Amino acid sequence: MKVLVGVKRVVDYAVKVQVQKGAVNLNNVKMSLNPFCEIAVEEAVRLKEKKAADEVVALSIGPKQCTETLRTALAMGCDRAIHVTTDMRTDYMELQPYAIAKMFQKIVEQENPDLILLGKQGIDSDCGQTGPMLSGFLGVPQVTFASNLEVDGNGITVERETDNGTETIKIPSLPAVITCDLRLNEPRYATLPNIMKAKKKKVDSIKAEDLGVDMTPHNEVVEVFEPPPRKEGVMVGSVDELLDKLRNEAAVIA
Amino acid sequence: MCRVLTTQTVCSIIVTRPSLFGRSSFKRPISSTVVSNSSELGSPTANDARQLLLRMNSRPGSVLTTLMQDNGTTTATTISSQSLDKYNIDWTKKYRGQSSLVVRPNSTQEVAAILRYCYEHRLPVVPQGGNTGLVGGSVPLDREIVVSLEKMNTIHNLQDNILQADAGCILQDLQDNACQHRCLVPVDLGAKGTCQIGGNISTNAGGVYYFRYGSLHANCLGLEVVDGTGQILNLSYSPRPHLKDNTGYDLKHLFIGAEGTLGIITKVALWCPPLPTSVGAVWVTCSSLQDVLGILALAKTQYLTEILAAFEFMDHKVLRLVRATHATSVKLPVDIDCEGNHRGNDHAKYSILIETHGSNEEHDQDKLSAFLEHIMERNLVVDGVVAQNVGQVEEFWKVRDICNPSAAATGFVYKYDVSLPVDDFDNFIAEIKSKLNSLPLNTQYTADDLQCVNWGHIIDGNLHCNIVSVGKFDRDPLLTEYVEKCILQAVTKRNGSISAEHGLGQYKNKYMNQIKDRTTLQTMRRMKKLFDPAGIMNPGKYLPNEKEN
Repeated sequence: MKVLVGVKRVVDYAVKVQVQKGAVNLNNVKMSLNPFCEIAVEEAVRLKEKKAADEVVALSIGPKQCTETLRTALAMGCDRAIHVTTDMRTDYMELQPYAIAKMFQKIVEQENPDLILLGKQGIDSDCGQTGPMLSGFLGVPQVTFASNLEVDGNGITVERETDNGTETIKIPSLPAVITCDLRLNEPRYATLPNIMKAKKKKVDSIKAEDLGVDMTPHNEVVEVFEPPPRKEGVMVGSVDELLDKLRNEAAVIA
Repeated sequence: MCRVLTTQTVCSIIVTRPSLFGRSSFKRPISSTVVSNSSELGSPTANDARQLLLRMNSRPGSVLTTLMQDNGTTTATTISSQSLDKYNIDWTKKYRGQSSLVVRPNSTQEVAAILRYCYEHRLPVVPQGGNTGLVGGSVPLDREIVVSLEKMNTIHNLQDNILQADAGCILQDLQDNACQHRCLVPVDLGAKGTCQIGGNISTNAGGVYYFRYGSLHANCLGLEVVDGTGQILNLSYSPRPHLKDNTGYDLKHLFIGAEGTLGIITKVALWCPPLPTSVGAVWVTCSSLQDVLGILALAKTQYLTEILAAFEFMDHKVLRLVRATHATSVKLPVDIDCEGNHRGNDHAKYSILIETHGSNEEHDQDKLSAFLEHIMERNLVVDGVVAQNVGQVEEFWKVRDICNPSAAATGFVYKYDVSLPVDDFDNFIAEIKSKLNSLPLNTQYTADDLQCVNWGHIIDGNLHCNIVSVGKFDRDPLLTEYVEKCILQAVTKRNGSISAEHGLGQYKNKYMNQIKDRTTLQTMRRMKKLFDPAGIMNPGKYLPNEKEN
């Protein structure tokens, strides 16, 4: 089985983002592999370790620094990588899920993977649209929010998270698109020997324009703003004062 | 950057100490309002509690005491003695005081009023911050009045990289605040979520960034303090602290590391360098301390140099304790099996955590990468992992920060914090271990009951050597005596220091006679008298008992 795994470069989740000139400031800000993509990479590598997959290819779309993000994926165990280069912002401001899914479609048509593993969403735009759109463009089954994944003969059985619990879905035959949720696995660290090995792995670079996909955004971003700061809390001096406030100010107790 | 520590408190025995003031209990001077020449210190009464409450404008919660009768007018301040445990017992539960009066001022003026009153009435005082020390410096020995700075926690200003704040501010709050201003508080340690900056400065806390950003003597630009007579001293704090200021004796340095024996720090001005925008971390394992030192030398002088921010070492025995006590809360970057060996690499015995700070990620990654390649080629490392995001950097530090609580959760910790030439780390540890194999016959332990676990800021030549009596949470006096003698000998022989960063408190002050000459000690005493003529400030700690001199 050949697995294609999506790797998005986003602002590190530990960084407090700041809005500047109508967009999230990306200058001198720590960027990392999107945590949900990291889970997808981990799952792909585990499939390989279980001998269910024989090749894992990582794909990233973005600026030249995406090679760093791809190196992380390679150090975690992916075999090779494809970098679609573009200087457009990938956090919805310029390049949007529709175009990204179209570009993925082009790469899938070239690579013919049996399984496409993506994160359930990028933590920058939080859209969660690329996976479903890609499965639509390809006309193949999809399962979103995967929390468990078992290769099952020619197909795959996937447990997915829903608001009421989990749902088990059996995909009888591949190819398919699966988007990964938080509980699927716990990603490994990149070890020194694997980081060194990753340096020697192949990263193919393709210009985004050469894919022949219309990259103009279909949606307009009207405004980007920071959430209002949380109101400062009040320290109460005594239990009596707390009770008084709960009773008379918040009116949550009688 | 903003690391979090969950401080795990542990159970261990409480050591009750005899009164250090020469009598079985404190005795009030006959005249309570006139300053007498008697060096005798009293213990506070209900009247003192009432007087101090008046000086706090009778604010509810400003005085906590068990001394007053609950007559309906002082309800807010009268509490049970258990509620004072927090102020009487240190976090390791090794030291316990008997204070029945805690004062919580919320301004410098109130601190001054308290100390003036205590000076006039010869009442001993223990200044207290977050109470996270390791040498019992911040808890009373007996019935001293505890002055807690916890209500003084306002951050006043952060401008031109100079932070001005109240002494009671929690270190992590300052770090988070500075972070928002793209500045870095140049001190960081495991207890950051609880410790207060005033305590950090009073103990001259070291921590993990000491090598990169220097000591608090270097980074503290100004202090406001109240001395032992109740006088407020403005030591380059206002109207504005300066990076450079050569006007007069720089008295603030006397208060840095004085452990509250000269007065109380009320406000601090700290130099906070620009926040590094590129932070990297690696965790590598080594088979010998020689290899650790090889890596240290290469990192320091050749490969990482100006981007090197922290270089911490831990032996795998302590990581084994971490796994045994905190398996669910921290994730070990390397797999340590139950024998303390690195699984699959049974010759890995030490782990190193290296952090880099810089401003250009590409540049830093190139340097780090060349460094890692080099130490791998030279076979200095067994294995290692490289953080790929900020979360992983934090996970690495969580492991390092949990070493101390893990040892404490395993048994009583005979804890030593020594400075040594790094080349002596190996033979020092070997010497201590061999001493543990020839324990005196009268202790209740054999060598098998004790584990020697080590970690520390090796880049500063600072080793945390810990002997843990596994499963036994009470202190054995005979073992203490034996181990302390061994450590003292081993350190002195190597021209080391018996307290690199933890200070003296009530634990190590007794060694001062052995490590400082008479003239130096006498000068220190004269200096203390200048700021604290009545000897009310944190008595019985820091300087050794005069009679033993």
